[in-house]
Amino acid sequence: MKLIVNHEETQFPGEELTVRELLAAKRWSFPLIIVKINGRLVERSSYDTQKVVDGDEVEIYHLVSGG
Amino acid sequence: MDYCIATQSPGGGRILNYGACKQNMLSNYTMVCQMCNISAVSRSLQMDERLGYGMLMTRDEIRKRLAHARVGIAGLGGLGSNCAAALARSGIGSLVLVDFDIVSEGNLDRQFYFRDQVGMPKARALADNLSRIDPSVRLETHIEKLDADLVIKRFHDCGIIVEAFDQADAKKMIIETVLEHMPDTWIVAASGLAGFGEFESIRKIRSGRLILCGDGKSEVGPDAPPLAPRVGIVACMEADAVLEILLGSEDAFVSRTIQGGRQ
Repeated sequence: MKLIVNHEETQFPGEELTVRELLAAKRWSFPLIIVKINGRLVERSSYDTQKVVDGDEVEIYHLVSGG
Repeated sequence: MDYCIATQSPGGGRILNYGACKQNMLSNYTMVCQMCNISAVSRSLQMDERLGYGMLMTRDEIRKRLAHARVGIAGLGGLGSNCAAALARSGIGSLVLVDFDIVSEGNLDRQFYFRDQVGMPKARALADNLSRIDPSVRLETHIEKLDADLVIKRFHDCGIIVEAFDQADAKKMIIETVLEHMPDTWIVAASGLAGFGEFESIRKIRSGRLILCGDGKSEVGPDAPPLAPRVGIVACMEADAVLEILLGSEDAFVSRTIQGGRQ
């Protein structure tokens, strides 16, 4: 399936992924992130259940300390 | 292809002077017309069918517009104090300043405070400093640690909130609170500003009502302290994003998004 991850088209095997699986596939292990699917915020508690499917637009932003 | 922001017409170089604008939209201005693909301001203007904002506004027009704005600043450290100063200088009418901390000597290397203010609550010290810049800016101060409930309570009447916290978990808290529970409010946040150099990696990302400034990676730590230049750059990027929202649209307070209406 094809996802748009942070505005870049990316191919993934299979028909669907959970947010957690997508993060693992990208090897992103940041502890504090903002996740949006098709513009809608995904709560952290839903990372294991929320699915992404072909054509979905995913935005993942990494928050680091400092200010 | 480059486009003139005033006429949307293609241009040949990076800058068009007013004489090159085909519809003469800039006839009353001596400033040059900047290309749409250079800065975020001009990009949002390109999407705005009502021409005449941003680069085409006089100082008086800008100040008149900003005078009606009320902006919340969450955290008054290196980001918040410098961002608030830039907003006060620009003519923002009203600021809500919230921080639980007091000014310490270690803050003076990058935060907008002075040596004789060490020991004062930051909210109070910053209010003093902003009033010295512009006594007409209306200031509401709260000395407290913000949680999700207090974010909503303190900033409910702010069109825009600037996230200026230090800790990443607090950043996540306020971004999610605003996106989930404050549907008419913009959140301008920062992530990644430690150290020095690599200015070109600092950028601004927009996602609906969230605008995120910084390089997204350089975390503050023992080997990567926050330093005045980079912190100041990101603080002023946040202030600039606020101006972009306020000046780019008449409907900034009704959750109009820059990215073509996406939530």
